[in-house]
Amino acid sequence: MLNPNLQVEISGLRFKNPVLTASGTFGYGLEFERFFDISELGGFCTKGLSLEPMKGAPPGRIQETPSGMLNAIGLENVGVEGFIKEKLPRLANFQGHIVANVLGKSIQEFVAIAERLAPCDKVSALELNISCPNIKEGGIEFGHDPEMTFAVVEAVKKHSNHPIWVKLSPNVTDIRVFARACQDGGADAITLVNTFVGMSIDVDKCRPMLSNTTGGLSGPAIRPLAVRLVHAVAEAVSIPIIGIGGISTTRDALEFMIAGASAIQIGTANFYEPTVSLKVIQGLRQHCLDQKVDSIKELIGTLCIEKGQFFY
Amino acid sequence: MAWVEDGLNLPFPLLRKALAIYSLPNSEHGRITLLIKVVGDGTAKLAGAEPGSTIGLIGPLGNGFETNLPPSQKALIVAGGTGIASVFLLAEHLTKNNHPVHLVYGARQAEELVGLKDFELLGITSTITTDDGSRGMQGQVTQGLQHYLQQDVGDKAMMYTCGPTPMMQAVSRVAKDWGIPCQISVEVKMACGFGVCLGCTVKTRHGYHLACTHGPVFDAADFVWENSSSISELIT
Repeated sequence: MLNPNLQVEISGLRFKNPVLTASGTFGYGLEFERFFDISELGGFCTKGLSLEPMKGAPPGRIQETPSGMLNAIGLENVGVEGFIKEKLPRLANFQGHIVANVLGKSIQEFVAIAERLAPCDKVSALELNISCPNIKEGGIEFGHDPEMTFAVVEAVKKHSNHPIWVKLSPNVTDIRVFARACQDGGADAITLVNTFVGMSIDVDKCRPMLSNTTGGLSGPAIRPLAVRLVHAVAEAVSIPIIGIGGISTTRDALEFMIAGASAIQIGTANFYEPTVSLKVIQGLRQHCLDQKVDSIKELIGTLCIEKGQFFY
Repeated sequence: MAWVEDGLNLPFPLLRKALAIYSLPNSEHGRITLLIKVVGDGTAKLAGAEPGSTIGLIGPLGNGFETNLPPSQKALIVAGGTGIASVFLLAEHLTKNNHPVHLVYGARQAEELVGLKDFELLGITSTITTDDGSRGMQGQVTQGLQHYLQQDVGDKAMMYTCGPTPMMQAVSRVAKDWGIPCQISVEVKMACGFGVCLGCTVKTRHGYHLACTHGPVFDAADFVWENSSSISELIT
């Protein structure tokens, strides 16, 4: 067995490996072409696309924290039209799957963006961002109310020919309720998790470090929190999970897959190690060889746990 | 973007540091020089790196100072504190292209003035200020700049500045008062350095721009300072 099979299937799509890069950390893919052949990736998620371009939050957008960083970018993006006209044509030769992360201020906006992307064959799936903690209206409103979650998923699903993934917020009491709402609404997969809301203070100035006061915490610091949520949701729904939260090594990725994720996304690590995904792909291949596993699919959800040992 | 490559799976600190290159390899040595002031864990680690350790770099990134000046146009470089690290290559390049260069350089005290010899070796004249008067004029770098401008207005110069934000804002105001174009090199927190984290946005008259890809050098006349209540302050 020289070449283990790294392929996974999610929402009717075959990925050549389970490593994707996360929305907001990989631009529109093009920015990383100078570092490596991005076609090596299973796929990537675009920066969140809104109906109209957004200029984002005022300066003071990021702050490093222990093993992590806070961000309040405010969804700066080129808009769905800008993506289709300026970015997508330059991705014609990309061999992986492009997942368009989309966000709206209303159900109508989500639907409008989905309809605008419908003719784009180069886009493989939509990832609904109902979990950005950094804008006041839209996004998180859907992610913090299970009925709204259900409604937006159902509406987009009805008006889109693309598989629908939903990226959930971890800043809720019981994420399983939202995961079930996604499944009931017809979602094809769930991405877990977006950033945890956090805050950092400049003690000399007695001011928040971020212009937005609070921001989303990402990076290795959140990994154990995210693994636990992936495990909990894997027990609660039957649709596939894409795991994300502080992954920067092969073993990090394996934790999520063993917990129940069919694929993983790498986020913050792209900032400080742009080729990190290649190392994880190679590491997963090596792990399969070492463990004498023919297909990485055999590892998904293999957590050994006694009944009754798990409390949410 | 730089850090010490220590082979750890979990880097500490997590993010690379955005640094200017002080000087490049030349006929005498094959080194790239980074001039670093220790302000936190990342810079402490870089400064403490033992000979033989590996410094990981992503770069060069961003734009640079515009140095395509009319022949023999005078250049005025105004550096404050650590800003000196960003302007030596500039001074070297301008000197090579036969532009007369004058350096105005300010620091809190004499011990914090670094690299002066390197500039002297280029034959560059200088005005030095220190807050405590331990070397050069006592006062702020803008006072040194005003002093120099009053002595020698000369023909129209190009001004370049790098240093703490309030200092660059003050220098920009002096440049505007004297009608001298001015380029500023800003320092902003950034995670990636190549335009994807979108963390290093700054305000300009043309909207938000990223310091990493559109900058770090901006035309002072376009830049909107964070503490200006409106963008009118610098443009009216």
